[in-house]
Amino acid sequence: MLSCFRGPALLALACIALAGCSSLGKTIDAVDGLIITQGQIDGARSSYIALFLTPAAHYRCASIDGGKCTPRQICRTGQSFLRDQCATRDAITKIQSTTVALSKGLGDLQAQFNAGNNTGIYAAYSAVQAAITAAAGLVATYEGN
Amino acid sequence: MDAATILADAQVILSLGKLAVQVGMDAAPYIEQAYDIVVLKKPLSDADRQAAIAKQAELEAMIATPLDDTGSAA
Repeated sequence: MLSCFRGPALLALACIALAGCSSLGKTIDAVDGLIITQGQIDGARSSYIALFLTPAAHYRCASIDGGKCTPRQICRTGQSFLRDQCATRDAITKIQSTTVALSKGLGDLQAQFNAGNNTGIYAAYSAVQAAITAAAGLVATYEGN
Repeated sequence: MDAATILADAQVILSLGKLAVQVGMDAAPYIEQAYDIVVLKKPLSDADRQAAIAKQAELEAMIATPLDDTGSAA
């Protein structure tokens, strides 16, 4: 019933006037683009893997062989990724904390969706999407220094 | 700029180029997958979804390698 109150006021009033208006509420959600689909979560995950995790793993690992990471060496003072192919502690720490946050964000999103809550997670989905974009920019910055 | 410096710079550029190509090759299947899902509205199969989740876990585990396991650059 609460979902009736989303969307334009007139539609909400009309919705209240109708019996069993949850389906109309979902329609309003769909018009507003507020329903999250499994496809959107899958798309977010693929973007997360391609735009953040893959370059971040290459920043962390000097070589990746069969899923095994040989960690990149830590830069000493005056050294850089571009010149010396080393990684800074600060960058690694930020990449690791970003990974934990994004992984949790995606996991929570999937869990909410699996629980049948596909209309109340739009804000969370948008936040995860924005975080993936920001994280991709972050790792690109580290690889450009 | 002497020959040794030019050679060293060329080696750096070559190694960075190799890294960029490797990252691109590793990321390409998932960029394509995201394009299929988001632009072409092509749903992911359960098997592909499980494979993506497994890949995500594998990469996250690599990134989580403790800093203590890393030496310093020479």
